[in-house]
Parts: sequence; structure tokens; C-alpha cells
Amino acid sequence: MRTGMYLAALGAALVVSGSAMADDAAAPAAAQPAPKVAGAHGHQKYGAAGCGLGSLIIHSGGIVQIFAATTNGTSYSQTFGITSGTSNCDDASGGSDDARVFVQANRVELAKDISRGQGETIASLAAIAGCADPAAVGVKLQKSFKAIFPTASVSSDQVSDSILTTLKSDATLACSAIGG
Amino acid sequence: MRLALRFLAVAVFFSVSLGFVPLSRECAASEGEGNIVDPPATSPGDPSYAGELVAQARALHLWKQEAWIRLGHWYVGASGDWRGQPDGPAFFLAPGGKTDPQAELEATLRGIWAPEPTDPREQHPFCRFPARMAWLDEQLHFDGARMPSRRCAKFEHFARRLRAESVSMVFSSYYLSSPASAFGHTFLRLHKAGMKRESQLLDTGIDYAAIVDTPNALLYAIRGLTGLFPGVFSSMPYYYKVRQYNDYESRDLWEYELNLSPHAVAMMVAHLWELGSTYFDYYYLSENCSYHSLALLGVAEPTLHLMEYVKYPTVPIDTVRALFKNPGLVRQLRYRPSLHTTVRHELDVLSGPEVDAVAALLGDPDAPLPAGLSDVDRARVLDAANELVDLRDPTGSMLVSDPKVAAVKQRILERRAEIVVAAEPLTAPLPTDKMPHMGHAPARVSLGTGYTPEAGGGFYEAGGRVALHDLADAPDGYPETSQIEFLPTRLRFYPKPRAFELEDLWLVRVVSLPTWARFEHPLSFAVRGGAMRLRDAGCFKCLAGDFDVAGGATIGVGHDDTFAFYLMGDASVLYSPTMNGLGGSTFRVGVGPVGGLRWRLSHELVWTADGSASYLPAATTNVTWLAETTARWEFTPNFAAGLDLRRWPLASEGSFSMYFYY
Repeated sequence: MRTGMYLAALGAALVVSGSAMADDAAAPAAAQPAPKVAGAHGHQKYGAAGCGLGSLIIHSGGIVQIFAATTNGTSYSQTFGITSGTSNCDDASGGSDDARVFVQANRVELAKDISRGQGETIASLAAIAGCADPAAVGVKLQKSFKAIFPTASVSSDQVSDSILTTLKSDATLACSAIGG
Repeated sequence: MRLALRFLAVAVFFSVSLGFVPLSRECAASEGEGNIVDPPATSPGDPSYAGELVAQARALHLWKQEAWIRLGHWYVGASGDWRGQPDGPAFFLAPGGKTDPQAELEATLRGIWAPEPTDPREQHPFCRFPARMAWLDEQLHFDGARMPSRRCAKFEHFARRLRAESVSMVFSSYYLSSPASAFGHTFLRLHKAGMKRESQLLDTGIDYAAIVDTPNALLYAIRGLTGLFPGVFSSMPYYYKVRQYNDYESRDLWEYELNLSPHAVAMMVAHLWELGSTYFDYYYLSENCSYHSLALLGVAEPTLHLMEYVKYPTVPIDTVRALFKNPGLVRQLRYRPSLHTTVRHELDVLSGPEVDAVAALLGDPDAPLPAGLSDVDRARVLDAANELVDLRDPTGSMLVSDPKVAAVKQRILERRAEIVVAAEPLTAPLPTDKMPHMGHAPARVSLGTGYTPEAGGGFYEAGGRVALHDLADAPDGYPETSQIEFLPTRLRFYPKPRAFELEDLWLVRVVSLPTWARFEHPLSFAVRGGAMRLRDAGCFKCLAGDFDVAGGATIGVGHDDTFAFYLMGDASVLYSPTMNGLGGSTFRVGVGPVGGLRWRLSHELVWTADGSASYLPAATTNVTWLAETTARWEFTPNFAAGLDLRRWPLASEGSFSMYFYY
């Protein structure tokens, strides 16, 4: 019987500590606007990224919600099959829309890779844009770093536009999927 | 003639033959395949064929086949009856299909001739269940001439979007900084056909998660335990998963690429489509992300033995271990180091003066670099500085937030972009001793014997733990300086007074000891809640409920932090009906230091020692303390032997135990 009391007290304590930690986690999210994704629509339902016991103790806070916001539309419906994270713009088969979604989600990593003139995000972007040679794309984007990222506060839409313009402007890159 | 096999053909076709053919897209106001409409059947087929197919299926007892049982996610309940796990209304076609696999199979066959849906956005059963249809076709060899002629445009679009060629089970490593993910996480990555290895970011991530719609922690816990959140599968570009886990949460990703036939991959895609129209009640302890990701794999390839290796509760690493129970299933293991791992590796490569240069850059992004560095070395210094900015600013790796930090980062990036020499990117090597599947099993039982002269003499002890790892367990496959345990307990028998006694029982016990480095000063913490036996003047041999929180710092010595010592401040609240505590009450509040060390002498042998002292305000006995030390040796995988010594103000004890992990 006593053990039961201990467990009840413990459960209450954990819930209290859980909410405290959840608040901590929510703070960074509140400080940032959720990224806008073309075609994303409004209902805010957050999927928990956690698994198992931990998710039960601690409410999944803001960290997860940033991603939930970019991938919203997590809902089930018998009218269509599995939900798609980025609203049909993610089929990575090429094109400017895909490139914009990609730049939005990978901006920080992309800036790093462009400053280096190579990297995984450049290879992926080159694939989306249908460019023949990712290495040449890397060289070109690195040269254009200041044009693409003129300030730290430039919007992701502007970054996307600059990248697409840069790629289109160089016919030798032959970026076929974006009309370059 | 296998008409319905064209579902699989569609999936396979797009897997192998499509390169980068731009497709027309309507991004705005669309939701996956939501805006595509399946056209009505162009010919009705022969409705009398349905009865013949049902008769054939009955004669073959098709419904009893493992593949069908898996397609419906049925299991045998406690009273021997069938129960289906999917909880959405649209998953079972027969009225009693959730509890009757045979009725569901027959309803599926008859469903081929179901009337057109009244709402054109809704799917006809034939298109809603491509995996079932493909499997039934394989068993019954549908006569194409007598089948309705119907196209499933939505599903075809979905399969084309995924272009799945192979599958990886991805394990996202333990993340104690956010206990929501402390036990790890698994999800699936569908590799796109025709992609170069370097652009695998564009693959598809398949995640099973609960839809959480309450910010209330208490409701969250209750509803999560009792299955009151719906759990759904969703698909998203793999780069979202990489950014989330690798960068934002700094968790290593382990991709277990599976050896699946093209048929199995296509079946997985088709079954994902079926699951898209339903949901499962989400149970955090059992039917969680790892459970359903593994079940999906079992549907794709019915010959695999997977779910029988999943215990209660479902610990993510157990689902990874289940893969290895099927010889040859794991084809390759790929490692995606987290931002944190990458930074540590980049700094390891630099010389002393170069690391100083990194430090200078963090203060002043225009700081001159040491003279005489080659272009490659200058690039490395700037790269490391830039990654450090991302790592230190917890939001910076996602979105630039603090303008000051953003300005530093911008300037470092600009300087880096001026160095055009190609420097081979530094990738942290795969740490073979930390491969998650190589660790000990997460559940543990132990048997031991010991002696305590002041408090009962000799005793025998039985212990158990549901999951996962403590600091003295063999460290391979687990974070070096972290501990997370769910429901560890010990029960003792003292032969002299012939008494059974609960020694301790913890709901959770978490210790996170990330080590300090020149550029990182992470917080160490420990949290535990449960009950334990005290042996001091305020509470001699009483069982007390305890909640403890501690925070401090850890210093690591040697490569991989094989030696670590820590110091923390601790606060605790205890309760026991026989306690002489705060102002004579049955409660006790304590504050004081906790310190300890952990030394990994080998991959099989670990020694820990720790001590704590607590000041107990307003109590008759106002100081208590505990010193303990443990040595544990894993002499063969999943078996260990250990020695423990403990000393309280009024008692001491020593014990020897054998441990078995399963």
C-alpha cells in the first residue's frame, strides 16, 4: 500500500518536472517564426518526434514544433493516402518550386556548403535543378556567395531567387529542370 | 494474367526507370495526392466473378496466411479472439473486419466490385488497398478479362513521388537533453531510384508519430499511456529528418540499409498507402514509433521474423536488434554524424595555434589567421569556427536568430567563401564501438548476495530493470557518460529475520554527464524518482519515496572520455511514514553536493565511485551522506558480474551480483 503512495507522489513530481522542462523546450520555438512552406496550410497539429517512455514524461516542446510547422498537414483521411510533409512540392524531380522548399529547410547547411563550394546540400540542389555537374555548381555558387547571402537577414525566398538566377545565368551549368 | 500486380508494377517501374523527369506540380492548395482524383472504372468487369474468388479463397484458407494477418495488423487477443490494431474507420471494409480476418478478406474481394464512391475525392476500395489487391492477385491469379478496369491515379502519383528502390531503418541516437527522445527513435528512409549517393537528402523519410493536440503535460502523459492520441504515418523529404536530428538536436543517425527485394519495397510503398487512410491509437510504451515502423517492414516481407522480438515496453533499440535476428537482412550500416560529433572531429584535426585561431574568430570574426597557414588549413579553421557558432547557438543551426551571432556567422562565411581551394570535407569516422545494435540488450535481471553487519547480516538480492543502460554497464553501443533506466528495482531476502524487503524501486533514473571541452560547457544533470531504503538516524532502514534533481559539470580525460569525473549540486524531497524529518514531520528536504567518477578500464570493465552529502534543514539529524562504488565486468556478451560497496551513516554493505541482459 505504501509503495502505491510513493508511486503516486512520484508520478505527480514527474509531471511537474515534465511541464517545467517542456516550457524550456518551447522557448526557442516561440522566439522564431515558423518557416513558411509553399502550399502549407493552416491546421496546427503537432506530431511527437519522441518514442517510448520519454515522450510520456515530457511534452514534446518547441523543438519538435518547428518541424511540425514545416511539415504540417499531418492528418489522416480516407479521401487520400498518406500525408505528405511538404504539400506535394517535395517530389524532388526537379524544378524551381522544389528548389525553394529545399532552400527553406536547408538554409543554414546550404550557406555553409556554398561558402565551401561543395557539400551534400549543393549536390542535392544540383539534382533538383537538373544540373549536369554538381562540382561546377559548387564552384559557381561559392563565387556568388556575397550575391546570394548579402546579409545575415536576407529572406530565404531571396536566397532561393538568387541561387536560381545564378544557376540560370551560367549556360555551361546546364541546369535543365529550372530552365537554365 | 495478374492485373492487380500493376500496382506493384507501378511502384517498381518508377523505381527503376525514371530519372529526373520534371513532373507538373500544383503546389498551391494541394496536400500530397489530395487534389488528384481517381477516375471511375472504364469497364464494370464481371460481378459474378466476386463470388468465385471468395469461394477460391475459402478453399485455400487464404485468410489464415501470415501475409494476410500482417496486412490487417491482426493479433490474437487475451481470450483467443482476433483483434486488428488499426483504429481508423476506413481500414476495415467488412463491418466486423477488425475482429474477423476472414470476413475482411472476403469483403476485400467483393470490394473490387463496390460502387463508385459518392465523393469523387474518396477512393474506391480497389485503389485504397493496393497491397492487399496485389497479394490477393498473387494468390488467386485474377482473370484480367473479368476484372473491372480501373486506374488509381492518386496511388500512382504517390509511388512516382517516392520512387522507392530500397529501404533503411534509421536509428536516431539517445538524446538525453530532451527526455522525450531519451530512449532513441526509429523511422524509415526510402531510397529514391536514380539518385546519386550525394543527393540522398532528397530521399523520403517515413515517420510514425502521435498527433499531439494538447499542451497540457498531465493530459499528455495520461492520454499517451492510454492510447488516446491517434498515431499516423507521414512522409516527408529526408532532409527534414536530417536537419532535425543531426543539426538541431545534434543526434547521430545510424542508417541500417535493408536487403529487401524490389517486390518487398513495392509492397511497403503499397501498404504505406493503405495505412495513410487510417490511424492507430498511439501507446507510448507499446504501439509507438518503433513498433509500427517495424510492423510495416514485416508486412512488406512476410517471411521476416520481427515482431516476436519486440518486448513490452517497445524500446527503439530492440526493433533494431530484431533486424539482426534475420540473417542477411541488414545490407549496410551508414553513419551520419551529428553536428556535435562533426565539430569535435574538426577540432581534433587542428593544431594548437589553429584552435586558438578558432577561438579568436568566435570573438572577432575579422581576427587575422596565423601567418603561414595553407589555404586548406585556413579553410579548416574557418569551417570549424562556423560549425561551432551553429553548435553553441541552439537555434542557429535551424534559423538564424540572435542578430549578433548572425553577424559573426555571416562574416566567417564570407571569409570562407573567398578561399576557393577545394578542401576535402572532414567527416567523422563511424565509431565501431558505438554501433547501437552492438550494445547489450536493454532489459536486465540480476541475482546477488551480500552482507551488511549493522542492518541484517547476510542477504540475497534479486534485481530487474525494464530498460536501458547505466553508467557501469558495458559501454559499447551506448553513450559513454549517460545513464537512463526505466523501472530498475531490487528485492532482498534476509535469512536471519526471514524477511523480504524492497531495497529500491525507481520509475526513472537518468544521469547525463556530457564532458566539458574548450568550446563547450554543457550542463550535467541527474534526475530520479522512486523509493529507496535509507540508513541514517532520521530514518533507519525505512523505505522512503524520493525525488532528486542534480545539476553540475563533468570533466572527461582521455580520448572518448574513458575517464570522467563530475560534481553536481543536488536537491531532494523524501517521504516516509516513519521519517523524523523537516520540523519533526514525515518529510525531508535535502540539499548538498554529489560527486563521482567513472572509469572505463576496458570495453568490458567499468568502475564507478560516487558520494553525496545532504544538509537536512530543520531536522533532528541534519546531515546525511552516502558513499558507494561499483565495478562491473561483462565477461561475455549480455552476461556481467559486479561488486558493490556502500556506506551510509549507520550501516555499510558489500554485495556481489550476476547480471543477465535480454
